Amino acid sequence: MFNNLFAQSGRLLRINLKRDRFKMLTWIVVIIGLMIGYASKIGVIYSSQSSVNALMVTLRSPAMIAVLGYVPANVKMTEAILFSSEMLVFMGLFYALASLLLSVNVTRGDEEQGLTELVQAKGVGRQATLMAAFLESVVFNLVMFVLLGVGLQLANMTGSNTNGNWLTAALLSGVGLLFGTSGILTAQVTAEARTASTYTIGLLGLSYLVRMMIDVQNPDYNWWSPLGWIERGAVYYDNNWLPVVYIILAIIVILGAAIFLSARRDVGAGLIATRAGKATSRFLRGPLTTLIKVDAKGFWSWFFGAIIMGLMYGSIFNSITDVLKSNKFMEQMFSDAMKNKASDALLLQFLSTLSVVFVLIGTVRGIVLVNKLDGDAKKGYLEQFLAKPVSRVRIFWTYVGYALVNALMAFAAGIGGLYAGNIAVMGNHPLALKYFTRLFAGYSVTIAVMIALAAVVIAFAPKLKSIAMIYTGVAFVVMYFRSIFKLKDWMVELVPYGWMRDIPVKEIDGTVLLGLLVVAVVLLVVAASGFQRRDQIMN
Amino acid sequence: MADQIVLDVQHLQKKFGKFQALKDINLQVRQGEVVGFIGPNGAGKSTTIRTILGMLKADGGVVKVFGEDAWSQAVQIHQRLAYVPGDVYLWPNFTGGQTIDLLLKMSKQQHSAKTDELIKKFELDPTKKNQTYSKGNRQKIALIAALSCDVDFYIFDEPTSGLDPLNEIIFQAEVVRLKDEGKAILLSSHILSEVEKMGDTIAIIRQGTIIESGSLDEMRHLTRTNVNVSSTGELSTLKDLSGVHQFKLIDDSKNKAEFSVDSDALQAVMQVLTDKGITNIQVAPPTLEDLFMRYYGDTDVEPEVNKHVQ
Ligand SMILES: Nc1ncnc2c1ncn2[C@@H]1O[C@H](COP(=O)(O)OP(=O)(O)OP(=O)(O)O)[C@@H](O)[C@H]1O
Ligand SMILES: [Mg+2]
Repeated sequence: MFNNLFAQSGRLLRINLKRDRFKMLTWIVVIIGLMIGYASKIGVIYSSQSSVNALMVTLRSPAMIAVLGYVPANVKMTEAILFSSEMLVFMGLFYALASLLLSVNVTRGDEEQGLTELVQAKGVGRQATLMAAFLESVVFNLVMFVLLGVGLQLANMTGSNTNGNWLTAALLSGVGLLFGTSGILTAQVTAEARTASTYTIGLLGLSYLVRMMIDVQNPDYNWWSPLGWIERGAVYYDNNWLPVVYIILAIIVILGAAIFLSARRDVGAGLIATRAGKATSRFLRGPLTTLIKVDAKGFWSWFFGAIIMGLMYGSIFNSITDVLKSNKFMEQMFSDAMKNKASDALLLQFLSTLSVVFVLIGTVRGIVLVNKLDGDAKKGYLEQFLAKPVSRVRIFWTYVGYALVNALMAFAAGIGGLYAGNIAVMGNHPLALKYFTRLFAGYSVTIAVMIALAAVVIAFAPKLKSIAMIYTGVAFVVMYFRSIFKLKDWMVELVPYGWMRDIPVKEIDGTVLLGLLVVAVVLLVVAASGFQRRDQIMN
Repeated sequence: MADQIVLDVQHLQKKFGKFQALKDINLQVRQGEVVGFIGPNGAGKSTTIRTILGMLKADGGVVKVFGEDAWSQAVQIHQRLAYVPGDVYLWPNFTGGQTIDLLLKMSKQQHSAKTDELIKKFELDPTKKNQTYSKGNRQKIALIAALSCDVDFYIFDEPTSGLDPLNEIIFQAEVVRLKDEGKAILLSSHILSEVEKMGDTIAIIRQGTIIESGSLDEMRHLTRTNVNVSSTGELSTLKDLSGVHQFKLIDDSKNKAEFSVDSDALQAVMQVLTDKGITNIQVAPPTLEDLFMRYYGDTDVEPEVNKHVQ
């Protein structure tokens, strides 16, 4: 019976591994390259004790703790501990993201294309697809485990030890597998691959936010978030393996739940059944209304997701300025005006780093929608429009316009949530609205440039559509880590966001804004004419 | 007006990268005419149709619909045309009814009494969500939307591949109605008997080239006639006559046989047969299957077809 259910998982795994090898390789190169590259350079970047101390001050500020995770107190700072405080939580996010995207794609993506049906008809066990997806995640994370462990051993940072190196590798791969398995679980509940990955990414975002709020308020409660477990490993100073045990137990439970649920649903369907509906709709009349209806769920998830994220970030504003109150000298000697100024300065520094998160949310939302132009062509939806008296250009502008508007809406929702959170917790002296509108105005055009780039790729080389997303990832890492990695200005300016790096502290440079706007418009026009000229259905 | 050319394709070529999908396509459809577009899998039927619809750009040749260029004038052309794709994919979470209305609205057409009539005839439940329909039902949705359009040119790409025989008959009746109304219809298929029921003209495509086209009658005289005969004399000598193919004695008897004859050898063969003393003879015109086999049956490109024959 057991044999029957899982029959041929191994063969399936081999097929899947072969198919996904480039995707996996890309993730591995990016993630491991980033970590090992930094680990081996950290001694060069922070060569003097004074530069390490300066960095520690930054890292210990509530703003950076919120972003990167907490830094152990009362331990001697070494390269190794510096590395783990800066990188681990964040890399945990990457591991989790890579694993969950892979596993959702294997379970549900295949099913949507009818591959599962084909495969199951060939004497493959009912649960074999699920098992193969899990095993693929295991293989992927195991490879990363070995590579990172070996890499860290070779990088040989001062203060590192073998135990800590392998613990780091185990914690990260563990979290990767944990979210990979969660992806498999959500894929059983939802009816579409895209919904499954959205939910799991939402779960990941939530873990990150919970960890953030806990870290800022009281790190002792870190057990509440899987990403907090990484910090609980106390790598290089305590080397605590208990979190790894937690992770493994959690994986077993989640896998069990996934198998249980999968046994109770039909191939191609989710657990939540589809109901009948009305035979007519006044709303539907053309490509735009179709897109709006198809995307309705996505719209609300992104919109509320961004607001909630903004609110959560905004709600820790008071913790960030708490430093000021605990300072006796300041309390007595500074006037209210001066205190307010100090408070604003702290918050602005925080805001300038974390706003990139919302820029990222907006951009990703937009690029996903632009890429839908190609996805829908492949799925055969576009053919329905194209056979109608609807021009190719109109279809292009419908998708890209919808993408632009939605990207800016998601971005505005995030910034709006941030502002609301700020108003709620900062009582007598919240950060002024103008900083938030400045953020929105400045980064909106950079988001537009990214979306325009994605549109150019779709118009000229749809096969390479993942480029836009990869570039966005790079841009995000550049912006998030530019101060820690001590990146040069010209490097930062290789990504559109880099041109706005000084806001909201400084005012927007009008020429830069206009320049970016022109770039965006030119790219969009080029993309439109390229799309207009090419075959509309490409395999 | 009656003979006006609606679709005119001349020397159409199309490449996908290095792969030449269409080499030389010539195709005409006139008003009041049903043209069957026949060819094996991967021959280029859908590619031709998508070029006609301005979704793919031709690399060479001319494609004109209503006298206008298919690529540059797509919007104007599509106002007078209805299309059902080979694989019908419909937006998830829309009901079938909503999808039909949307497709009609985009064609600037009304949901009419005809639409309701078709929904009834095809027995479609318009309140179900698209993702819960079977393949055949998805196809019905696209067919209903197309058939209730009042336009001049209808294109169907393998329209009945998912329909059961009953619905297939309904569809065929609808096509005949359109034809009688003077509409132009292009219909791709590998189900030959289906085309035979509706079409008067066929075009056979193979590996990106139209290898034969014309009215069914014209095509028939190019082909072999099937003969099933019983006689008093022995028939086995017939086997060696020129123009006789697939000769087979029935039931191991010496005077019952089945074979096919090239049209131009018919006269000679009949003479020989008369001498043998015919007791019973059935002569059947070739079906499209025979036509099809003749063009593809002898090639190594279509091994499945060959196997089928034996
Ligand atoms: N976008 C594309 N890119 C590359 N090759 C393509 C593309 N579209 C079609 N082809 C190839 O062109 C050839 C013709 O395909 P087409 O879909 O026109 O065949 P068909 O006659 O409709 O076949 P079927 O009866 O199976 O529907 C096939 O070999 C196919 O693989
Ligand atoms: Mg086809």
